[in-house]
Amino acid sequence: MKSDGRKKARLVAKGFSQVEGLDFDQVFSPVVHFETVRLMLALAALENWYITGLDIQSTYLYGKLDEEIYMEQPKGFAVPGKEHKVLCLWHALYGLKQAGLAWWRTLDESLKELGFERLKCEAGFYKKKGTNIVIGIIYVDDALFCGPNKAAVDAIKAQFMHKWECRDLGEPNEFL
Amino acid sequence: MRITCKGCAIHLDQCAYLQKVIKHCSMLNAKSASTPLPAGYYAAKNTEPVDVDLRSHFQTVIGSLLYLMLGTRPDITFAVTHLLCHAANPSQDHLNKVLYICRYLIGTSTYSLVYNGGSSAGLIACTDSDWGSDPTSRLSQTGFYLKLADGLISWTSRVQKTIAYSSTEAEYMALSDCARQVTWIRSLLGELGYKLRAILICGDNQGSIFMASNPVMEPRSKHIDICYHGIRESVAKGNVELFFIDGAENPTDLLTKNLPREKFAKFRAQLSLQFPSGST
Repeated sequence: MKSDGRKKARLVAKGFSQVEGLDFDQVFSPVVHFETVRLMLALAALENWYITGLDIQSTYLYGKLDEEIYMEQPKGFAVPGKEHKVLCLWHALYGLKQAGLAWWRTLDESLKELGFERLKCEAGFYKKKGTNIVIGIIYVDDALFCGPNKAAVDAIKAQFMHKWECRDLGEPNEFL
Repeated sequence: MRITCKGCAIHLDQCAYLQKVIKHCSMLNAKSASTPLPAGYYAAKNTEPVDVDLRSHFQTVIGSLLYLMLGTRPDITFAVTHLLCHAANPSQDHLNKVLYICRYLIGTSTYSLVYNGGSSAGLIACTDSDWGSDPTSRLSQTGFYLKLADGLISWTSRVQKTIAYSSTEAEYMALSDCARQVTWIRSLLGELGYKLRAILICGDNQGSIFMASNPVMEPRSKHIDICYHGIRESVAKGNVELFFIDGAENPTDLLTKNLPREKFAKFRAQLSLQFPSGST
């Protein structure tokens, strides 16, 4: 139950049955520091930048898996006549140990396609150079875009929203 | 974290989360406290065996406070990190003091961190240390913050890893700790295309500033380990510049110890924390 009355259900994989080295290798996923977010806000205040926020929906389901993982068919949703078969996962699921990392890799790739470059000294901090610089900060499923030119930022945001299903948070927003 | 733009200023707060924490502790009607912890308070180690229920309660509350502290509340940094050392085996006294921090937050629940776009102040850092503050281990405490657009962007309070033989040495370690953070912020801004001049680090100890600016090897400082000399390189390269301020006027004091009410209020006023306009 969400605060606004919507009801949610999730299919969760049994991550606890995964074996290290076989079903998963590395599981950490980089996030930005609080300091970085505040630094960017301070910069935005000084330079009078435009800021806008996004919330990416069901992020973990987008992550592409490197490993071959099978799961039992969920009860009540088994394919009729093929109840004895198992499912092979193409994308990550909630509960999988590497879901966070898989999502981050997928996201990193897509941001590079949009022309962003990741900063060397901060993992979730992206910049897009050009006549109007656009900065993107991503914290798992929360994203902030900002820059001196509103049109440039909004254009990038539109491209990003075209790629991922997002909730537009607009200008005064929540982050983290 | 809520981000609100007001004119050329950006406000950052976690008021909604704070209210949730206070409600969870059933302290909505509690009396507020004027400082996060009583002045001069030191949390002694608990020698009793672990009380599992108490520990779980303690960890729940302090975990929430930690999130607030990391997000938008530099004023409770020392209090939270000080009690956090006892998360493995807290006593009833520790739990009471955690609730004391909550009471302080009740009185200051509408505070927000403000970045003022109209400010002409550049990136500036401030450090302090409290020499031998831990009565058992005799380790010192480091405290520092970084400000941009007249608002705090980074703050830290931690117990130093090595014994300092003198207050100068404790201060020297605090400076180098701060310089590390400054170096990181510098390279981050550098990647964004900003060309920065030397960043000012304020400290209230002449000896440590002298030591950081001059590669001297004295009998009283020759034992200082290599990792603390990073500050010298930063100074020599012109990445940072050290500046002396009066100890009584050093706001980072509140990141190193529990201060009395007046002093705490005075320094807190310099942390860019603000009440929303319309309320007091």
